[in-house]
Amino acid sequence: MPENPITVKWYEVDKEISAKELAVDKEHVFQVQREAIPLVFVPGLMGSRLRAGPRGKSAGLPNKRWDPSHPYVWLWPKYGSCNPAYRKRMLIGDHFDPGFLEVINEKPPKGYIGDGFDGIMGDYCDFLNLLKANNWGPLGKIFEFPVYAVGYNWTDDNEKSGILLAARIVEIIAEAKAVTGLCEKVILITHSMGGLVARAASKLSQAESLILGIIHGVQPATGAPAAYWRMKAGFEGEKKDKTSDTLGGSGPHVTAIFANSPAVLELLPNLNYRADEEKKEQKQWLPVMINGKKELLPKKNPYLEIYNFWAEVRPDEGSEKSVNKYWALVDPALLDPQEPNPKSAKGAEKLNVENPPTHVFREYLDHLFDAAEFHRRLGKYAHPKTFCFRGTGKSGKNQTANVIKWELKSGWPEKEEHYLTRGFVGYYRDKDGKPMQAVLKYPAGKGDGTVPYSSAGPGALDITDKPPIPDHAEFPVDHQPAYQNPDVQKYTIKAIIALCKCRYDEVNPKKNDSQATPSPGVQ
Amino acid sequence: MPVNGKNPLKGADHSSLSSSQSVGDPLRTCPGPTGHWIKVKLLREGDENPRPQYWPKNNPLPYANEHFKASIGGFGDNSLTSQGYSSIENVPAGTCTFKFDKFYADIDVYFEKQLKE
Repeated sequence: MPENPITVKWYEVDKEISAKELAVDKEHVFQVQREAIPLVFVPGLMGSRLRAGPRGKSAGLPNKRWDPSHPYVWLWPKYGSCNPAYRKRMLIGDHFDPGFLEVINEKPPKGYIGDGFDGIMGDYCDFLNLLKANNWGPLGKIFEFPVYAVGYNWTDDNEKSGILLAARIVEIIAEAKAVTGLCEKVILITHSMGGLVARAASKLSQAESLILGIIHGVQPATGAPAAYWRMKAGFEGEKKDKTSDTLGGSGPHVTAIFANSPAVLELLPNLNYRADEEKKEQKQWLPVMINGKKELLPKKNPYLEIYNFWAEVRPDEGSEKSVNKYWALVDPALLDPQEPNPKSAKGAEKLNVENPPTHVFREYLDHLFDAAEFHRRLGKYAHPKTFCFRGTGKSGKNQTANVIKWELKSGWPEKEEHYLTRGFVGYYRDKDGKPMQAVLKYPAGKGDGTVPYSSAGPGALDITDKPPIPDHAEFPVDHQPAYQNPDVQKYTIKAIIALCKCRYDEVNPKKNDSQATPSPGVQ
Repeated sequence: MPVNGKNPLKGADHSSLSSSQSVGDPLRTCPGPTGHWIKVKLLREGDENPRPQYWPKNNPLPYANEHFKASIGGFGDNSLTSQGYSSIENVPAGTCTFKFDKFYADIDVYFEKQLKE
């Protein structure tokens, strides 16, 4: 007759079994309890599928509000040619409300929490399914790696999304523990803004002890001037660019959403942003003309020198050398675009230039200073076990806004136009009172097309655990499809293995000699 | 004393076996049938609760071919079968211990290889 099975934790196999005196004439069964280490993916801006939330339902609007999983059949038709007012009605409403949108999540099977895959963009799931199917070799003797995704409302403040992520981590650990009997920590894998959410969960929501480590991919840790560029000029792209049109092909299309979204304001270059990671003292990234003189901003604080001002795209009539801040971030006329026909998504929108809505601008300022406070509290915090990779662009060309550049031209054209498709022109008068144009130039810096090289690198974070080999890497990838790259996937898997080694060393009494975080190697 | 179908004493030097063996020596195998046996299995623990369908499929396979040492004198090193068990016959009465001394060895090799490439 077999004895009752004896359960032995994976890290005590050798110790526990050898300590037992086994009676003869019996069958002894030892069951090894493996540990689940859930792999939890956190997507980036616009990477979660959203629908109307409890306070977002509106007659005449679909329940689904953002679905990047179906660009051809849903996203492009819905957003490709709509006006800014319609965009705002779909994604913000009259004014920002965290209950306006929620993640699309199918009801999970009864008794389970769901893996969250349906709440995120389908392209991410290709990589996540690869992780699920990965052969972990002999690690399968002691560990198990269920895979989860946590989508979130990417318009809402990242600290709030961090709170939800922290709560979800607790649920995931509980579910994993119910299956294997042993689960204490998860590994977070983030894309882009998902990195801010993960760091907020770890530090501001005190989930650090529940996280074995974080692998950040193309995170704008100190911000991205692309957020500025796109609010002035729209998403970059070719002449007829469906992706750019869908995401917002002009300043009005983008500002209507970005300037009204607390999360996006947290992507602006913050106090720690440096265009050149080698020049730590040089904070400036925006050249401007003030009183006929060229200045470089920010001198100290972008929130008080660039983002808080009311952008005026042309000088007042009769002014000599102008003081209008064409370069300020937000033109208040773009915050609350009006539709001539609310039922129509197409047609020319009416910019409320006569009476800019000051109350709307005040709301923007509230969200702006919340963003500044978010970064003050988050700082350059990194989980003690952090890996990060950055992109240098698939084409090999420098096409990222690490600084903003203008072409200065004399004169104003007969047809006044400031907000072009994928362009912006500000008017001002020089020191002699002559009319001048500042034409925003296309980005030409190093990075992945959205996040500058410096912002996604290890210098943007205080990574405390410093192994002999740097725990960071770079790849020739563009921003959005970063995780589709095979080398990125290999690096991520290696980082996961390195974090497993940390757990292995932590609890395996034979291996406590090793203290440093192992590295997957320099790329 | 067949062990997993093989006779570990075949060809071994038996000259050390002696009736003057002192008390406290580890169990030693007996040259003839004892009527006693022991079987040890090493398995992955099954799920404590049903796993979600979105988890990887459970791998309930036993720990095949795991190396062990048993405190049965003269027994020497051996390995579990591909089904994850060891069945030893003709053992002395009493108790013995098993030690899976190389359980982590392939894991160590895996870490070293994966993290250095």
